[in-house]
Amino acid sequence: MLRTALKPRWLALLVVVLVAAAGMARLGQWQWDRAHDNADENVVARTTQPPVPIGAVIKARQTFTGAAADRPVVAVGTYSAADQLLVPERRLSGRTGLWVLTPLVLEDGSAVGVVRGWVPDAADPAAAAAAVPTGPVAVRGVLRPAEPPPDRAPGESSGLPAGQVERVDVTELIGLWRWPLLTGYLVLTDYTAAATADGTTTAVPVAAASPARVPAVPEGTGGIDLRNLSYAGQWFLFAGFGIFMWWRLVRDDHLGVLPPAPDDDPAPAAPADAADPHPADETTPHEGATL
Amino acid sequence: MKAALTRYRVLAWATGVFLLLLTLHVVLQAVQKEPGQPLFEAEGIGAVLPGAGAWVPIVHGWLYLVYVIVSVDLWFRTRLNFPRMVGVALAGTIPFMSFVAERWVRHQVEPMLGRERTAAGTAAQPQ
Repeated sequence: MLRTALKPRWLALLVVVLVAAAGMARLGQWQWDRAHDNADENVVARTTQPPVPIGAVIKARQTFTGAAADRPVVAVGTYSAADQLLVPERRLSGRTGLWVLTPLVLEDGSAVGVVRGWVPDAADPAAAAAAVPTGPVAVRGVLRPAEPPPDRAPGESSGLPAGQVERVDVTELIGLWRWPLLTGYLVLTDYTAAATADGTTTAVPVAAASPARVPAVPEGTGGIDLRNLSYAGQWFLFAGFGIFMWWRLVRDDHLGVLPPAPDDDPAPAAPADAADPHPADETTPHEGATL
Repeated sequence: MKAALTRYRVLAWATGVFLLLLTLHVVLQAVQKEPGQPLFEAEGIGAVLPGAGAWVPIVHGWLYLVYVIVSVDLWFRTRLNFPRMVGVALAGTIPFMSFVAERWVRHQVEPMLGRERTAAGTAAQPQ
């Protein structure tokens, strides 16, 4: 059997099979990784760009472009704590809570909604207006397009308590906030104190209670993606199957059944078949190489 | 050989049908998606059959794996033209082609089954 396997023909095929199996195993590994890390790679790539001043990407009332999506930016301004809103039904690490959405009034007089973080319930101290940093701040965050308005019949209200909105929807925020608004919002990653008009820098505002950070890259489902896991398994099986096929061909050669012979037929080496190795292919004009 | 052919034909049809469902799924996703939205975020076939967007691709994946295995099994028994059999295995990934491949394989293998029976008959006669 080993002598058969060492024939140049089978060694060459073994190399081909092993290369193919290695390729398939890599593809399996890739699907395995995909199954466990289902964050969108494009979003990850966009959110890791170096931050730029927000004014260089988008200004108030301008259309939100694709280039602005998930773009890390720095916005300098002052929060308006009195106008802070909460956005319910938001998930973080498998729990449902609320986003804390505070308008940041920029130096040019326009404003952008900043998702400062997530709180488990509306009564959380971090959701109180008193917990909003005062004074000029430089906010680093990732730009997101405004969310589409909720699908609701005209005149029907959201039924939410005052100070809560269903979506980060600019068309609704225009009615609640008094500044020209940017058509997207910021998901805060961090902030520092910014220089005030007279050039002095106040200490970094101490956040007595800050809401939990919302990740810049939206969380996946948190679970394992079954489809990718399934594809991973299939690639590994294909890789193994290729090696099995090689072994099977070598075995057939060893047993001397390798020019064609039905291997499991009860009537061994049927004379008709033996005399005519490729009876079925007679009609095909171009018969390729046969193993 | 007959059983192997039946296995192959069942899998060829099942894979073919699921590949059509998968194609329908992707076409629906392309129709449904909002401009700028990635294709895979659209609901696809799930809009017609709830949840199908999740299991149709998975089922097709496994059916195709079994399809390739039964194709190879059939090849070991029949020794059909090898490059063509590779084509048959790949046909499971192209919409409608598995039906064409199934037809070709059946036309190739069925005459062999006839010969097999004749051979078995003549072999039995001398006893």
